Amino acid sequence: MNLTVAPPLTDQADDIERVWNAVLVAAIVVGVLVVGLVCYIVMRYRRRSSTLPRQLRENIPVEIAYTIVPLLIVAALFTVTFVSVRAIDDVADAEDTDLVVDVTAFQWQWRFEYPDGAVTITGTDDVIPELVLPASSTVRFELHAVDVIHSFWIPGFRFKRDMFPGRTGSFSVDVGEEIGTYAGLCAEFCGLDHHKMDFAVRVVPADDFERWLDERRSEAGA
Amino acid sequence: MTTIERPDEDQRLYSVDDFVGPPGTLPSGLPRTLVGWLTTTDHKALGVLYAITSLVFLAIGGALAGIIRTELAEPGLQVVDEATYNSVFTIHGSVMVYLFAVPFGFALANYLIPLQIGAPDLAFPRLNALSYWLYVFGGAIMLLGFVTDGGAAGFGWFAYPPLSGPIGSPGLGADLWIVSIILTGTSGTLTAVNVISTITMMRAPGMTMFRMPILCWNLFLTSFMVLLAFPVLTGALIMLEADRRFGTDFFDPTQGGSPILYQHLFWFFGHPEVYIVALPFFGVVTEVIPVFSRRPIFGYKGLVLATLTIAALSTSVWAHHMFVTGQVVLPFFAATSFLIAVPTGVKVFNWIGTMWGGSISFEPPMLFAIGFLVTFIAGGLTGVMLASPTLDFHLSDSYFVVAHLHYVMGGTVIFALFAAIYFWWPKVTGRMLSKRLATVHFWLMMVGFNLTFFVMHFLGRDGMARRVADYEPVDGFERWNLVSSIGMVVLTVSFLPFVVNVVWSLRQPPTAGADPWEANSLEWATSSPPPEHNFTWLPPIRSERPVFDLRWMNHEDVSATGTTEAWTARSDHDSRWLPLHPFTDDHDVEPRADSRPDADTGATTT
Repeated sequence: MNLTVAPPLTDQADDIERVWNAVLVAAIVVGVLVVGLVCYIVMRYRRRSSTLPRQLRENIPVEIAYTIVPLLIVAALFTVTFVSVRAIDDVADAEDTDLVVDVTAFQWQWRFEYPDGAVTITGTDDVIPELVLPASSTVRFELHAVDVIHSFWIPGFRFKRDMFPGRTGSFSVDVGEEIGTYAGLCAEFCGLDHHKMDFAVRVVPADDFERWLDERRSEAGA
Repeated sequence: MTTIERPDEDQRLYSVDDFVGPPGTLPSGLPRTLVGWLTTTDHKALGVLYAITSLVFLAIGGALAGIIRTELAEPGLQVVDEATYNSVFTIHGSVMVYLFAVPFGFALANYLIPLQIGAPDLAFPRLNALSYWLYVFGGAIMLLGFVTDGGAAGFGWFAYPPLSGPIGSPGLGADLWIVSIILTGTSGTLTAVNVISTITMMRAPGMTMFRMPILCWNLFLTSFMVLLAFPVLTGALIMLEADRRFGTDFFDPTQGGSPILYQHLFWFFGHPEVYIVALPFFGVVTEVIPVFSRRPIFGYKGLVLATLTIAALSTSVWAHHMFVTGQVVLPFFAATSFLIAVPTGVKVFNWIGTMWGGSISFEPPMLFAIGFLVTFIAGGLTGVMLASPTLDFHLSDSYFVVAHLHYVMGGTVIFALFAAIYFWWPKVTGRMLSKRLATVHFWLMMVGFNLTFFVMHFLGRDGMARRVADYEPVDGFERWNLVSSIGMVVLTVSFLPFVVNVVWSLRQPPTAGADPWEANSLEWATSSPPPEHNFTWLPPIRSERPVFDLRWMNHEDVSATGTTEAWTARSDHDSRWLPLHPFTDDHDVEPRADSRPDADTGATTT
């Protein structure tokens, strides 16, 4: 099982990844420019003589410029962010959900319940729980926590959502075509064995998913 | 461009030593006995005590960080078990934030505010002593958790219920932690009252608000943020303790309580807290850069305005810590979080503008100020990334956040802290520190710090959650964790030259003189170390650089006081307002406070 960094597994993760790439490039460009400027100044204006330099106190146009330019940059980042947040929210409101999975977190394991209650997967100390998802489908997760706050994080989704005891949360994703097994974990510190709250996410073709569901149903029935 | 050559003999520069006498003329104002130190209400002594105590907590927090990095160097549990690990990272974070970073800001406030505004002490010296001792005992109570059954608190420094509630954390260590934060929070609130009173009421003649050093401005605005934020935390923790011990259910969801309410209260404190930690250190850098660039601070008023904007916005960004709860309004808190980057960027450009065209010397304080600048730019940029909810969905509670917060609250603080120590050490002790050792210290720290924390960005992006005692060997995290742990070793070693430097320096005679750096602000206008009640004499204050104006008083094109004659006339005028002993060789002369000029007419009544 290969659990290194996953590719984006959902359409929403693709959106988030695009924002990440844009913001990362912006940050690196600004960082290189500003740190470069600092390095340049430090070398260019190092003390060469005891001459007192010009005692410049202000330059209003320059000050306005270095206020406006960052303002424009963050306005652009804000816009990019909210176009993507809307896209992520849209699927949450979508009617055409193919599958609803109830996810329950407790100290210190996960339980995944598939519709009609016939299939339940609960992790143990020896068996890491597996969340099986059909490719090319819209999945809604209903989130429950039993004891303390947990957080349902699938790095491949580029998404996590905190889970509060006494309050059901939910979110939806459009699972893509990336067949494979990926990592999932609890991101909110939840006590003694927090680090053991790992799970596996296995994306399978839709046919295989139905077959898997049937097998588990018959196991549960038998 | 007007440049001024170093003056020939008749154009010589004046020195503060010309006015206050050579080193050793006045006795140090610090206590001489143990009882003196334990009972002092003097702002300088309490400032030194605050600094030493917070550095002790830095050492404790650093040792705990050493345990964390040793444990995480490779997969598996080798050094400590989970329970101990959880206590260790909780107390590491709590010590660093509550007992090291904020109190070192108070050390700066204590020692420097009266000296920089020309006052003899803080407004309420006994309240100040009370604040200090509340802090010491509050801190000790937190550490006592380690010797209780069940160990110290192990719920992270934000103590989210229900995990921090009576069922989630039944041990006594959790109660000690809560009581500790309540005490130190109260201590901070009292200090804030003291700082605001001192700055509004006790400035010397001529020291208008817009002639104050930026450090004083920052400590002033920080204090307002403390008054807004700390009582909210103290209140939330009293509610939490009531849940734990007195049967209330504020935060217990099984009884209709609300865990999310605690998060709102905590972060309403927690985000201003970030700026409460940072602003005093921004102030330090703003003091250091002009001195070693030989330029006035560029855009003083813009800088004050930026600080005001940060203080105002910092009270409305808190929920960006809660983007992944699904229970906060994303656009509002994202907008304010993005916006706060603008005044923060303005500050960076103020510092750059000050150095631009300057004459930069690389004395130790300046080295560390530049180190601060680079670290701060890196932390600021990841801060902008984390203002985006879209990215927080992935990055929140990951090692990316750990990297970010160690850049903004660890790196910037530690670099600015050493800028402060190297800068004011001659003022506090009358002795210089070795430049060579300081340079070694700087480069080791620069390499060690970035090695330790930069790679954490990669870990977070790859999916490593914060606050984990262990990770699986299959996760691909081994390489960066090992690099980070090696960086921690370098970072630890970097403190050695500093310790050697301090020990060496304290064995030298106190010959630094009043103003060894050719600095700007008033603390350099008194002897090193300053005498009791700080000043026997003050120069006229006609800009934010009274000591610069003194040094260049015979160069009216750069000195805000005009000509030497004008400087002298202003000095005579101002000294009539000062309830001080004028400086003479004989310290027993009568004060001149009995001959104050009439406030309206300027006429002298005797």
